[in-house]
Amino acid sequence: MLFSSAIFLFLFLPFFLLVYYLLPKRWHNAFLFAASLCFYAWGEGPVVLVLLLSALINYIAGRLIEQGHRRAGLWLSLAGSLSLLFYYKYANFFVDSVRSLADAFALPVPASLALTHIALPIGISFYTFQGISYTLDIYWGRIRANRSFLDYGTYVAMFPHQIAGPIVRYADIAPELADRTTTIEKFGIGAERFILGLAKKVLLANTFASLADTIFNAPIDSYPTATAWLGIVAYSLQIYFDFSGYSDMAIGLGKMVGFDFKENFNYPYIARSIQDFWRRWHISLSSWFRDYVYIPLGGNRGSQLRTYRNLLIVFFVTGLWHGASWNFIIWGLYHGLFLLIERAGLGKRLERIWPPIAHAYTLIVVLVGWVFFRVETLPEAIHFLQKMLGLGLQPSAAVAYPPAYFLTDELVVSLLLGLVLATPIYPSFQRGSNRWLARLVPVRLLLNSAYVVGLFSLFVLAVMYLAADTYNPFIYFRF
Amino acid sequence: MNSSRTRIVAVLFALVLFLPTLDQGLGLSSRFSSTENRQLTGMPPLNFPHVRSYVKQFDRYYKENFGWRNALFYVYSRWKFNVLNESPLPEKVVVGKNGWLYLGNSYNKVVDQHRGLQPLSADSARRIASHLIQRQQELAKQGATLYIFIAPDSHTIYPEFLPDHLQPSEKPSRLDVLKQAIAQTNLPFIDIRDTLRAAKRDHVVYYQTDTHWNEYGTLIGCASLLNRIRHDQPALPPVRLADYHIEQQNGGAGDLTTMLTLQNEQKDPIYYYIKPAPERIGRQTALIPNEAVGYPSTRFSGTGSGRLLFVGDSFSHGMMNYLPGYFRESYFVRGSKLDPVLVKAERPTVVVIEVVERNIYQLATF
Repeated sequence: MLFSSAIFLFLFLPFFLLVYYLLPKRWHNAFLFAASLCFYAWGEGPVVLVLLLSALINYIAGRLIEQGHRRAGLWLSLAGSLSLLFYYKYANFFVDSVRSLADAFALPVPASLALTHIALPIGISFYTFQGISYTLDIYWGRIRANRSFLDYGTYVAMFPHQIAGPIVRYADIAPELADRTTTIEKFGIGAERFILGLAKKVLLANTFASLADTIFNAPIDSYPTATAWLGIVAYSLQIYFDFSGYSDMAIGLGKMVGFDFKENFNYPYIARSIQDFWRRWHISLSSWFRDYVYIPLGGNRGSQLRTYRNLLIVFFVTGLWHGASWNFIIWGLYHGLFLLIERAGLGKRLERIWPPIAHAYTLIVVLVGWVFFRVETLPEAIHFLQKMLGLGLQPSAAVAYPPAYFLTDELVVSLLLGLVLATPIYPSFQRGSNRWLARLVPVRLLLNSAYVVGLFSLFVLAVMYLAADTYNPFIYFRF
Repeated sequence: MNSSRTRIVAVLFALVLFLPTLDQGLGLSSRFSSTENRQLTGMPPLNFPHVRSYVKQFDRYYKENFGWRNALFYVYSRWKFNVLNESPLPEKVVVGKNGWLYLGNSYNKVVDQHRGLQPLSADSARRIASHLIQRQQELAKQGATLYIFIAPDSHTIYPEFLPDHLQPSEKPSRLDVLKQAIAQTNLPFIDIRDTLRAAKRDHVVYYQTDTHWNEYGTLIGCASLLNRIRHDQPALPPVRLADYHIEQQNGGAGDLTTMLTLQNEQKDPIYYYIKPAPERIGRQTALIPNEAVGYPSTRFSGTGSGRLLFVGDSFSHGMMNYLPGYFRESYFVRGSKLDPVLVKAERPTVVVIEVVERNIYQLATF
């Protein structure tokens, strides 16, 4: 079930909220746990058992560590969680890579070395990392293990962050898991955040997705260099608004049921370096890798060479975490490489130079990186990059997809909005206007009303687009 | 954040979430009826233990039937069409200039065909020609002459109203390639593109809001076809435009606007009412249901000579108003296959296969 689907918005969510608010507080976790399992099983079917198994393994591991079986508990958590992740996410990739390698060296490959396609349980990367951080935090003495499987299961399975994150650490929400308050104000703040996230996803990300898909699916010789740039800019905006929109919806839903999830994005496209980009992009993931991989590896406490090695390991795993393919690994290592270069001295220069140059450098590195993220194979990525540089196959006299082909009024407005909303211009404006409003009481009511009307207009607009997506009239009405 | 504002947002959000369920129960939005010409998914029965298939079916049911859906699409359509000046369903309907609408790519990639992005290879064209020759020979043995008639897409006849970024290719079109291959044979192949282009100087020949030609375009198409048949069969009565009373009226809405639910707002400015002279009217004698294609077959008797078997698509619908008046008997069938059993039963002297330009690939298997 997707947050941006009619069945979630108008069936699951209202009835979930109704029952949640009618139930006594002591039943809240049990109901949230049960509803989350239904939410997951609705789309994923029996794979919900993988989630439950992962939760059970880490729950038992946490209890074992707490009871003094520290190493056994930690090994159970790491081996159990990672083997599930490896099997479901990477087994096919591993087998295919071994076969390709053997083919490349003309080595004989046993016929038995093949796997039937294994379906990937959505969200497995998120709940695996949540489980591991839980047991590691207990192992390091940062938190106490939860005695109740129901409460722990609620943390892992909780539907707001279960499918696509953010990665919520147990330590951050442990107090709310035990006792949380829900107020109408908090519900309203959550609703506002949810609506803004939904609008980002449906009105912006989907519009950019349609543009990016058309360009990336078109034959490479059917469009010029400018269209390739339009395609990668559209994809960059798509992935940002899609993911940050989802995070907004997750944070909003969390607030509606009393949880305060941490922010996952902080305007990454205004970063002045790749290091800064990773402080702003998918914050819950980058901080997870920092705390549970980079620092345990030694972080930057050893020699320069050791720091570089640690960074490359982290970014290799970051790439692999995003998807089981060599392109994701290349994307991760590509980012890792720029971090090394910045650590080697470029970072200091970027701090000193005129900011627009640092922004431009970061954006170009990020945009080029997204090419590896978007296309499926390395040759395709190289062809697309060649096209961005004006090299390679150029279109024939009649260009099928010049930039003008795509630039409708709606797309131009969406692109402008996307570029503005990817920067902190709007929050700055909002802060300024709030200060101004505080002094003008009579106007405040009017502007607040206008804001509410605008907010719900956005909601209706987003739902309109969802309705249109399912509208499929046939041709030949007349006869 | 302002606490009174957040309270209002909270209450409104909770209300809005329940509105579709209320609508499903009370039918608040029932005046916004669907224009989807298809069977929408009904509420699926739970057939335990097949829960997974139930979930899939229910998902589909819900997204096609949730409360206010039609009303939301109705508003969406107007927002896109009137405010953004774009097609609400760009894959289905292309919004052209001066109120013209065209069929979009979802139907056999028709726009890409006209942009030269779906070319027909010379080999494919030769294969189609060879298949049709085989059909021609089979029919000749039964005493029937085969005619292939192509109804042009509106994109071909009125390219000037297509959006600038969707202009037709200057390279030979799929129809040009096929025509060239067929020119090497003795197959009667009727391409009326030039005739319609000439006719449009005096009258509009296609509906602006529909995929099809209008009554006048249909009459011109019929006249071209009849003239070609008459070339081989002089006994056929001559075609004279004077035999038709042509009246210009205000138009209605076509299938393209109906798809967009804009049928009450976007209408053709011109509609032709055409009445044949009494001696050129074919009398309908039978309407035979044809479940295989969903449209009935129709039999006519007329004052002309010979027996016509016409196998065509939706463009042939209007042709039933004119052609039967020139034959003693006519039988119109909808479909994309020439049934040998039907030919044997009907014993036609003339067989016409009609396809619209965007479907010429169908001729390879007719």
